[in-house]
Amino acid sequence: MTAPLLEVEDLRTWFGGGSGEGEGREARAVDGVSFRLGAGETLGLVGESGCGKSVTALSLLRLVPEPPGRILAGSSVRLRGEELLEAPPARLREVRGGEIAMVFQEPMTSLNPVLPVGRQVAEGIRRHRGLGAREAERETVRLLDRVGIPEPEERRRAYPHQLSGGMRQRVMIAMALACRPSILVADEPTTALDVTVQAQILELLADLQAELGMAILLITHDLGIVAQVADRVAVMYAGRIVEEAPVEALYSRPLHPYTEGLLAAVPDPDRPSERLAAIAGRVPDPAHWPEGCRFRPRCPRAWGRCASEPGLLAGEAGRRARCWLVEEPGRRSRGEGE
Amino acid sequence: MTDRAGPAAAGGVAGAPPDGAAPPLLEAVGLARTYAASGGAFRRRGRPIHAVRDVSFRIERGETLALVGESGCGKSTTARLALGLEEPDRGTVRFGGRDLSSLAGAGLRAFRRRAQMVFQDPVGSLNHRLRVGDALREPLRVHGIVPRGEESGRVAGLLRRVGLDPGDARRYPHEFSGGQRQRIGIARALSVEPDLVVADEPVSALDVSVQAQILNLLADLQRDLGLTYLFIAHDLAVVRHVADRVAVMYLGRIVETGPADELFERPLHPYTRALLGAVPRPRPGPRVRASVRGEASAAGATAGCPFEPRCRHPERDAACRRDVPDLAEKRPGASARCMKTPAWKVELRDPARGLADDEQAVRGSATGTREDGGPA
Repeated sequence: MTAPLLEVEDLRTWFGGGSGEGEGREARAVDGVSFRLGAGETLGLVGESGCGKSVTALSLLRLVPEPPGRILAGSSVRLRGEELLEAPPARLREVRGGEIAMVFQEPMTSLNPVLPVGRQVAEGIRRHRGLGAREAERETVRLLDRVGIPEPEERRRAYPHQLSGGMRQRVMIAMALACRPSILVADEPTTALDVTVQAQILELLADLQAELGMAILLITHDLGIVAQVADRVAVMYAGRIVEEAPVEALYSRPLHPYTEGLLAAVPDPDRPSERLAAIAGRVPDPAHWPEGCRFRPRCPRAWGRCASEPGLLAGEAGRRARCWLVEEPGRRSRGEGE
Repeated sequence: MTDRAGPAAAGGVAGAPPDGAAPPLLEAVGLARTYAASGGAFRRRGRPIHAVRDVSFRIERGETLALVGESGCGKSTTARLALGLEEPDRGTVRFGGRDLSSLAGAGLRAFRRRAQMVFQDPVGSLNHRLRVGDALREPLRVHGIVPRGEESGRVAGLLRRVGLDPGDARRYPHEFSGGQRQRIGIARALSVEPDLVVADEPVSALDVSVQAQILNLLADLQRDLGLTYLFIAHDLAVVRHVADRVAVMYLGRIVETGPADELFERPLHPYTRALLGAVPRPRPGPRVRASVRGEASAAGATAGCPFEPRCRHPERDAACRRDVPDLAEKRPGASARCMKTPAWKVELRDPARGLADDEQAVRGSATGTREDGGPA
């Protein structure tokens, strides 16, 4: 079997500790995350704020500021078998924006406010593809047109603040595509956008993926977006992946009680109900994850065995869940707690 | 429409036809608010921004009207006008039948107590150096709700009412999670025993599991206390769960209004259809396709229907580019600002048949952005 395009193994990214606030306990933001991404597929990494999904994305390219952050020994991120966490800085710069491109929630923070957007797109093209100025300019106009920016010849001279949020995100996508990446990491790419513009951007990403064959790691809190866009889904809670499954399977039969609770809490515009099923309590603090299963304090199905935390247990058909119910499915039908 | 809107005007007003008896708790008639554009870097420089133009609605006691729309549609400005936090350039707001602009002294104080606001970011509205108990005590004192000796008991009761612990009164706002802070914001609004609560994106900053808790809390409070809500939101899935009636805004105008279930199941206006079609459904299915091109832009729109540049209605034509359509009644209690959406002729003697035909008519003209399968 050939190596997967991207393989993340036991990734741990912790923050703080030692000096400063509190008791100096480290915040174990990402705490043993493993997943694989195959060529051309879309993996949705989903979870609520503080679950570690964004830090996971940043860690892949060592974009977490160190300190206060640190990626622990034993963590591994392999691109086509090549260990990125030990790669020299020059090689990392090559990979960033080359083979792995990123798009963030707020393009304003990633774009240089004092440079016309076309210049910023062209810069990436010249750096990574070694094109001359004239060719890079032509390629810039082509890319801006491809991502749906009207009058690209004119608009490339615009500064970021002169564009709408949707147009800025299109520029970011053009920059990301400039080097024909094999992986696009998109961290909440549509969260700041209006819903009609969001649909346009999601459609654009899907079209570009089909055209270019790139894999997408989509990080989002929105279970609606994941359902529409992802092939596979990994659900994160408290620094760990708690469930991973093909998208259809996850939504039709969630294995982990957290996934189950999350899906029940999402309002559905087509199916109104009097009450939403809320998950009791709140997300724990990364400096004080609960002992045993980290969802146990909020879990309606917890029992004695949950005092020790399971690994990601393999269920049927490529599914995994960090829950003893995978081994004891009989307990599920007893419906305790609900 | 400067007179009290009678039955004849009901079609142009986002609200149920009046019963004839008590006035609605809140009524807005022809509100308009324009801001002078600051000479900033924006292209709109020098041109006034019409944040709200000709907005009318009414909310009956105990019901929830949701104002929805995308950023810049004017929904938050409308909320501020409704609360008297800003004065409209034109139009009238009536609370319990009384014109806000005529209120002064005790009348104005009573209104300020009876109409409260809950914000997206409750911390921004709380003094972070005040303990939660003191923050809740302050409005009790200002409005003389309870004698001093009963304040602490009242604060404890309020905290319990919103699902917090009475002991939380001694803590500071920053010690709470986002969901708990929103509970504090709600407790503060409730402290003065209001009739109307205007909630401006109250759950949009919250995680989905916590959002559900807060939405359930708001529903419980409405049921137990008989509150009336004006709910401002951009998230249509949330709106479906809270609203009795919905008003959809686009570029400062209400473009459609009606009972929530009808609006979601049989939207009238092409923009409403586009908006509903763009919401990613929380279940795997056909991939999201853009339901409408372009973005809302006030720039360049001088005449005609403001949605026309993005509209996909098969019959859109020169008339749409020439005239701004009126908000006209298309079904009983449901209105749309679209001259190409046919008004439904209802057989008064056979309403059931009227509805069935109506459904067909709307299905036929829909652009296919929604799934089939309405309720039985």
